[in-house]
Amino acid sequence: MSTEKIPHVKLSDVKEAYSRIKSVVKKTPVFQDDDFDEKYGGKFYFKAENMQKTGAFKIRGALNAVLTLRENGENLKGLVTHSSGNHGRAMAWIARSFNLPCIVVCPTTVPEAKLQIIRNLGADTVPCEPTLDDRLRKVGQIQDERGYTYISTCDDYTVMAGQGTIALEFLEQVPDLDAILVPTSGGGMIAGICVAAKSINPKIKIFAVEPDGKDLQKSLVAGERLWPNPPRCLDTVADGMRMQQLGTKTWPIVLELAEKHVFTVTDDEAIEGMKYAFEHMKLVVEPSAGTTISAAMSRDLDKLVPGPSRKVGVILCGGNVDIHNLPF
Amino acid sequence: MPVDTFPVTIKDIIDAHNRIRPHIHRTPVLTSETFDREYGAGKKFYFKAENLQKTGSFKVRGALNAIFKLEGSKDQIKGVTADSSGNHGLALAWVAKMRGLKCTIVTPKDTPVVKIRAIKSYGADVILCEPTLTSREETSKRFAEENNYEIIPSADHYDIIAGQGSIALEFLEDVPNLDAILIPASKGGMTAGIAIAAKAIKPSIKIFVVEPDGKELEKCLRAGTRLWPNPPCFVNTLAEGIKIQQLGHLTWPIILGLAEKEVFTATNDDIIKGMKFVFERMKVVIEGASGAAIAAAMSTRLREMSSDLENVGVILCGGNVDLDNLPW
Repeated sequence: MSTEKIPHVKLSDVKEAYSRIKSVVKKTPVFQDDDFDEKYGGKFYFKAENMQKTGAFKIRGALNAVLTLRENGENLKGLVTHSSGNHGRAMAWIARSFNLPCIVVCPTTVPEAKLQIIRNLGADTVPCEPTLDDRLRKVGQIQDERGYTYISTCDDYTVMAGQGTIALEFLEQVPDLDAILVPTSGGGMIAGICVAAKSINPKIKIFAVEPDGKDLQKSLVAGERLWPNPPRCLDTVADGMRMQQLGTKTWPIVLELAEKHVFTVTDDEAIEGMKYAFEHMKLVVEPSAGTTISAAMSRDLDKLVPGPSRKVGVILCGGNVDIHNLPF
Repeated sequence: MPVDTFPVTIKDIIDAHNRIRPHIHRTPVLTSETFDREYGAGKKFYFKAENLQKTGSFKVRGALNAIFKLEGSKDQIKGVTADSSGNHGLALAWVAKMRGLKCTIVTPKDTPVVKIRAIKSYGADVILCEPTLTSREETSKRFAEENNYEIIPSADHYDIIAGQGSIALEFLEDVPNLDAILIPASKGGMTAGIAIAAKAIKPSIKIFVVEPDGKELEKCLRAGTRLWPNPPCFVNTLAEGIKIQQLGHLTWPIILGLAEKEVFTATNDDIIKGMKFVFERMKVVIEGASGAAIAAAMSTRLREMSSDLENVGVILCGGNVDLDNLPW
């Protein structure tokens, strides 16, 4: 049965994902910072997915997708995807561990350093224009020509279920979180986290954090997709969060379960958050992770999750940054 | 040499740990499958993350223990002072603030501005001196006498040694089957403390010192005498925390008696290689001294050592590096 026919993601899917992936994926630590708590009020818990295998959370979803296909008897000839970095890296790693060929379609805007990392893991990279249309066109070509299986970076229920395992761990590590701040691009992670977290604790608030220009809140409040077409990429320092639109499968889940308020973070703010992690928490995080740290610092959060005893979860989604070119 | 012949005992270290425990982080032990695969040759490595400690280095352990002991023995403390190029000064300033004590740190005038700012941010005063060890020590001694402040040395003090030894209590509780520990040394306070605690708990454990190029410690240990020239001076290394050439006078007999004669030496290139691995693969920020310990763990010399050494501990002593001047 194709994974595409599953109408939605349930907590049981996330739990199954966890039992599939947990022997490979790390149970990442949760860090706190006393100075941050004192300065911003309450208790903040930082889930260190920068320390995950391949340096970002992406492996959870990608691995669940591949393992589910194999479980369902699919004969995988190879794997193909499009990615500006972390998902491609996770896919390359997974392909290598299953001895499968892998092609990652990468926009021409992706730095050579990231391409090299993907190639070092044994995958091939194929360039494309930095548009969603061209990414998908090239992927389609490879599916047709080689019969490789496409694993989406976000718009796939088994990928979402995999990402949702972050919440299973997080809520086991910190059971009484009031809210979780989640960096949002295509929405795979926030969809999975919403499903898992809200099933465990319906009162918990899941907030999307976006780069400037995504305008997600407008669409959530209106209840419909207001983004212009064709889908665009954002010009943001948070290179893991370039997609303006949510995926078509992630959208209904995020609309239903996430908070309507979205935290919008500028490049400078993302870099400030990133620098805080390096300097004060001694954690190497990428700019996308800087967005949630910045959101945690915002005064808007005080109104939305008030009180001196609030407990706020912050996802540090990845740490794949070029240390020769730090943006601060 | 029997470990209980030294003026600092396991009981002192256990007492120190109980004294300081409510105020410090019990730092995590990190592992890296990539490191084990690339450098292990069958060994497994465990990294004690003191870079994630309060104030960014292990120094708070000794500083807290020394101050608590001092408070127990004196009715009135006018203030505390120390000479330090960074981490001990920062730790002492933090402890002094917590205990409501006045604090003045004497530091060389070439100390990075970011470190001086951090010390001042805890309310301590800073006096700049010439960048020589003699000037540091004389300036702080003179200041202490004139102002009736207590000198809290960075290493050569039994309460400091006992405080640092608490690292080993935690490490061996988390990883009881450690066969060896690699410890970066400047004056040797941490090495001495860890040696006493570790050998008391597990006599067969091997304590290996890690030094910067130019310290020439192995020569001294093998000869059983302090062969260093006087006056005491700095070693030319990019690792600011391990610049002092000579071991302290209290730490020397302990290290001579308990550490292995083989000392791991790290050049600046080794240190940079070690730092880069940790930044890029383990996603935490470490400073040069920790990079030296990583370099020792990566070394052919360690790889070729007895295969009895299956589980090797590595102390990541600190993460206070100047991010605007990373050595690459």
